Amino acid sequence: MVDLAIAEEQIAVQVSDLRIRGTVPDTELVRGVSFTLPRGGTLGIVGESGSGKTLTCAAVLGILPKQVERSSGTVEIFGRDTANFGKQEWVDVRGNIISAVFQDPGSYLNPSIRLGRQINEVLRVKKGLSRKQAKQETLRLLSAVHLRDPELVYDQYVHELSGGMLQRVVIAAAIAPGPKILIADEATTALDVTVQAEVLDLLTELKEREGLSLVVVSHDLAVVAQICDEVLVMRSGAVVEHGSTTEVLHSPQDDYTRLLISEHERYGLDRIIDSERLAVA
Amino acid sequence: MALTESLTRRGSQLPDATPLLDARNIHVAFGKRRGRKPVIDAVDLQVHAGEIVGLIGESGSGKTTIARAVLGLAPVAGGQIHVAGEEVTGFSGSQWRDFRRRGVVQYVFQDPLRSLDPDVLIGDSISEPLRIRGGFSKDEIKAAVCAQAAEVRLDEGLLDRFPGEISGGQRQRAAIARALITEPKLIILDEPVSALDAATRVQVLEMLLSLRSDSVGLLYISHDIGSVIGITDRTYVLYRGKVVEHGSTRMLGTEPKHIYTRLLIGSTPTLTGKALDGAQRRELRDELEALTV
Repeated sequence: MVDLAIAEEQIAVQVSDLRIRGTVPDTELVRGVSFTLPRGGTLGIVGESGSGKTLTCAAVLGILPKQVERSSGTVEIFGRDTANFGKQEWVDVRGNIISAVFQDPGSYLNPSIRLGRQINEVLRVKKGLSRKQAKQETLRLLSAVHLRDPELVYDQYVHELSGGMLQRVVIAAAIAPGPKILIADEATTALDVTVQAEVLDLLTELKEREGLSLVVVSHDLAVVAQICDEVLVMRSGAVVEHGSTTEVLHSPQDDYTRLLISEHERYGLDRIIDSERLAVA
Repeated sequence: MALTESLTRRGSQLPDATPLLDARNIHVAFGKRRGRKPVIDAVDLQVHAGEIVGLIGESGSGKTTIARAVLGLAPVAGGQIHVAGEEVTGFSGSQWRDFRRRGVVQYVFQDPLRSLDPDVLIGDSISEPLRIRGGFSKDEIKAAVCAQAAEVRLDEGLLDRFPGEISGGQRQRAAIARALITEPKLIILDEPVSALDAATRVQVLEMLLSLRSDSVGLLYISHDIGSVIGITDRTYVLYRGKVVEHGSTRMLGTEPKHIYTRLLIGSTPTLTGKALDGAQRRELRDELEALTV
C-alpha cells in the first residue's frame, strides 16, 4: 500500500511543467501545463477538442495511451511524485485516492452484468467487504447519487437506464472506494441540459459532503463557471489562461478566452435570462 | 418592399402568407399493435419565408422525427404536411423521389464527417445534387459550386480536398453549401453546430445568419438553447412529442410560460450564474412530473 500522508497534506494534485509527447509521429501534445489543486478545491479545465485536456488528466491518473509518453514535468498526488509509481502503487492509488468519470457512461459499464453487481465488485476488491456488506454499501451509494429506487436499479442492466441515470451509477462506482480526488472529464457533455444541471449539483454536493477535490474538464466555459473556483484554459496543448473563475470571466487576458466568453454573450442565454421569472412562484 | 421587409425583420409578427412549411396536427407512431407508441402527438409547426425557426427539446423528444416526417422518412400516421404549398403527406414512392430530386427541401446533419462521402472531393460532393437533377453543363456546375462555396465562406482551394483533409467547421460549411446548391425553399438544420468547437461554432452561426433571405425558410433543430436563442426568430419547444410552447424566441427566453421551458432555461449554464439553483429546479421538476402523470 502506498504510504501517502494524506491526512496532513493540503495539496491534492500538483502538476508542474507537464509535457507529453506522441511518439508516432513525434509531436509535443501537451506543452508545459502546471496547476495546483488544493484539498477540497475545484479546478476547471476548458478547451476545444485536441487541446490536451484529456491527456493532462490521463497523465494525472497514470493512464496515458500507448504511443504517448510523459517527456518531462512532475505530477504529485498528495505530495507523492507519481513518476516512479509501479503497477501496484497505481492500483492502490486509483480508486482509493483518485478516481474519474468520463463522457459516455454506457461504455464504462458492462452491458451483460447487473448494475448493482458492478459497484459491488469495486467495493469487494478495493475495500475487501463481504457480499452482504457490499450490497448494503452499494444501495447506500445509489441513493447518495439520488437514484430514486436503488433496489430496482441494483438489479437493472445498462440498456434499461437513461444516460443521466447511468452517469449517476458511474459516479457511484467512482466514489465507492472513498477517493479524495475526482476527475470529471466531459462527464455531463452527452446529457440533456436539465440532466446536466442535476449531475453538476450532485458533484457539488459530493464535494461538500465527502470533501472531494474536483477536476472538471469541459469544452463549455459556462459549465466550468458553475462549479469551479479556478479555471485553466487550454489551446493546442498549452495553458493560455489560468486564474480564479471570477478573474478569468471578468478580465480575460487571452484572445481565445475572450472568444469563449463573447460566444456566450452573443449567442447564449446570458443576454436575456431573468431567473426570477423562471422559478416556481 | 414593405412585406419582405417585415418578413425579414427579426422577431416581427408575420403576416398571414402561405408558409413554406405547414405541418398541421402531425402524428407519428412507431411499433406495431400493442407495442405501438406515439412519438409525435398533434404537432403544429409553420416556417415562413425569410424566417429562422427553432425547434428545441431534449434527446428523445421527437425533434429529428418531425424533420424526418417532413422529408417522408418517418411514417406520418395523421395530419397534413404542406411544403411550399404542395401537400406531401400521401406521396407515393416515386412522387417522393421526384420531390427530393427537385431539392425543394434540404437537410443538414449534425456530423459532416458522416454526411459527406469520405472518398469524394468536397467540390464533387457539393455539386452532386445538381448532377442528380441533371440538365446542367460542366461549366455551369463549376460556376455554381464556386458561387456556393463563396456564399458559405468556404475557400475555393478546399474544393479539391477530401473531407478528412479539412477542419470540422469547413466540413459543415461544405455540407451547408451542398444543401444550398439546389436553391431550396426550406432548409432543415439538425444540430448543425453541436459537433463543432466554440471558435468554429461562432463562424458557422454567423454564416447561417447571413443566409437569411426572403425566399428561404430555415428550421433550426437543436437541444442547445444557447444557439437557438442566438439565431432564431421564433421557437417551438418540444417535450415528449408535444409542442408545449411556441412563440418569439426572445419572449421564450425572457418569459417562458410552460414549466418545461422554465426548467430548460433555468438549467442552462450561463457565465453570469443566472440559472436557477438546485432546489428551484427540483420544484419545477416535481411540478412537471405532476403535470405529465
